[in-house]
Order: sequence, then C-alpha cells, then structure tokens
Amino acid sequence: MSDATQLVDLRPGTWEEAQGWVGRELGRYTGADVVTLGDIRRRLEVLAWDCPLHYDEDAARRQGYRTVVAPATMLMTWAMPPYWAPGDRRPTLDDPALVPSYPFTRIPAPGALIFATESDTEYLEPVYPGDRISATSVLVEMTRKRLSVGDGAFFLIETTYAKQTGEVVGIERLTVFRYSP
Amino acid sequence: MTGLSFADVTDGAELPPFTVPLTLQRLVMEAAANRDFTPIHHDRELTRATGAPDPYANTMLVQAIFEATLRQWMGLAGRLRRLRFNMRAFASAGAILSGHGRVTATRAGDGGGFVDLEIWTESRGTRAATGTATVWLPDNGVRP
Repeated sequence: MSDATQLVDLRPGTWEEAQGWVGRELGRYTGADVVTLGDIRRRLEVLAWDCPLHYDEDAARRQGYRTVVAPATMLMTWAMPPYWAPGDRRPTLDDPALVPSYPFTRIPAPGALIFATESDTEYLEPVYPGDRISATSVLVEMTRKRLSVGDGAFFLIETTYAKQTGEVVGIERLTVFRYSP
Repeated sequence: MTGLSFADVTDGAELPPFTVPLTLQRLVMEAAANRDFTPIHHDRELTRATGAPDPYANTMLVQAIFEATLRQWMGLAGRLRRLRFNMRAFASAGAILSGHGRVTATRAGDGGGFVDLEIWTESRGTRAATGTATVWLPDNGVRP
C-alpha cells in the first residue's frame, strides 16, 4: 500500500540534514478562511451525514455547545493554507498540479516519494463558525527504515491547532514515510 | 433522543456501519469540501501515473467517516476525544467505503465515562484503515 504523493514538491537534502531538524518547528500556517456554516454544510453533504449538532443551533445548545459546532475531524481543513493569495503570480497551463503546502514537505531529505502511514489526533475544544484556526508543526522524531517500497525514513510530525485567541483545539501526530523506490 | 448513556455501553458491542458510495464524483465533492486538491484524490489519469489503480480517499475523508460512524452510534451527547489509525490499503473510487467499530474498554470519569473502541474502514472486502478511538459519554444520555 502506498499513499505515494510523488507530485508533491519535496525539499531535497541528506538524512543528516533531516536529523538536524528533529525538535525544530517546520512551520506555522493559518487557514485560508474563517470557519463558516457553509464549510460545515459541505462536509455533511459529501457523506450524507445527518447530525443536528452541525446544522441545528438549538440541538447544539442543548448539548452544551455555544452554537452549531463543527465536526471535530475538520482541523486539517480549517488550517489549510490558500492555493493562491493576492500578490502571488498568475497560474499557467504549464504549472505542476496544485498540492497543499504541508509543513512536512519542507524537511530536507533524500527521497522523491512520501505517504502518510498513521494519523493520531486528540480533540480538546469545540470549533465554531467565526473561528480562525492556525497550525504549528514540529518534527518530533525521525526513524530510518528500509521497507518493501524502498529505503527511507519515518517522520513523526506533531501539529498543534489553535484558535485566534490562542486556545488549543487539537493536537495531531502524523507519521509519514519518505523514501526512494 | 439525545444519545447513548455510559451505562448502556458493554464491552464487545459492535457499532452499526456508516457507508458512503465512493464514486469519483463524490471524491471531487470531498476535495472541494476538505480543500485538499492533491490529484491522487480526484484525478484518474494522474493517479494511474503514480501506479495506483484509481483516485482514493485521503486522511481527512477517513477521519470524517470514523467520526460519522461514532456519532451515528453514540448520538448527540457523546464527545470524540481521540482518533488514531493506520492506512493499510487504498480506498479507491468505485466501491462502497464503510466505517466500523467495536467497544474494547470502558472506564468511569468526568460525570460519565470514557469508551475505547477498535475502529476500521472496509473497502472491497479489505480493511483499508485500522485503529482506535476514545469517546466520552454522559451518565444518563444528557450532558450534565
């Protein structure tokens, strides 16, 4: 199995350079938009997921929420940076496909391929329409490993999601495997 | 109906599955909803160039299916506390993707109790993602 995203623009480097990033912050990024009822509705629409907490204000309040609450698992979406922002150059037909600028792509290392192997998230506080979510990622651990797909390393990246107030809403530990086939 | 009470939960109980027909169109809707436009999750030609048979579900879609599975079972009062899973196989376009769960442990706390579950998704008869979840449930089905 491989979730190989070889279309991702990975920073080249050596394993020694990558090791030097352990314990360091890979980046802090803020979601392109504030959380809205429309974003939440589109999440329900895709899955045909009927849960009144995410569309009925009274139902959400009866459960102790301030108002309609977002599904807990939308943190990665809330913190997704924009694919274009004012001031960026105009796109052309020859551009490579757009991919999200995840912080783990900035680790300098060998290997042109990467895939996510494990996702582990603690959900701490509810997220509401109007919130703006930022994410700060730290490289926690690097483990060199040869797998059947190739020689590479596991990277454990811990990302802390917080509101504009600084309140931490969730902590994610994502493991990715970067390798040369 | 507000939801399941902690006292109602028994070890080994299996959750009703939550299913989604994972058509290519629905993967496109998913990309628009989660804002991850990486081509392997919606573009057939580019996906095949990477060696995979068809575009497949990303991490955010798997997370959401697990939350929907847990929510459908526990009702409105429960809270999702932790979700951990490994990606084991592609959940590719053209098949039903379903979320599943089974209670593995319970412990009282916080005016209710915490429930640990084994969770997994299935696609074409294979367990595509497997892991564990922890939810909190109130004592009487209503938040104190």
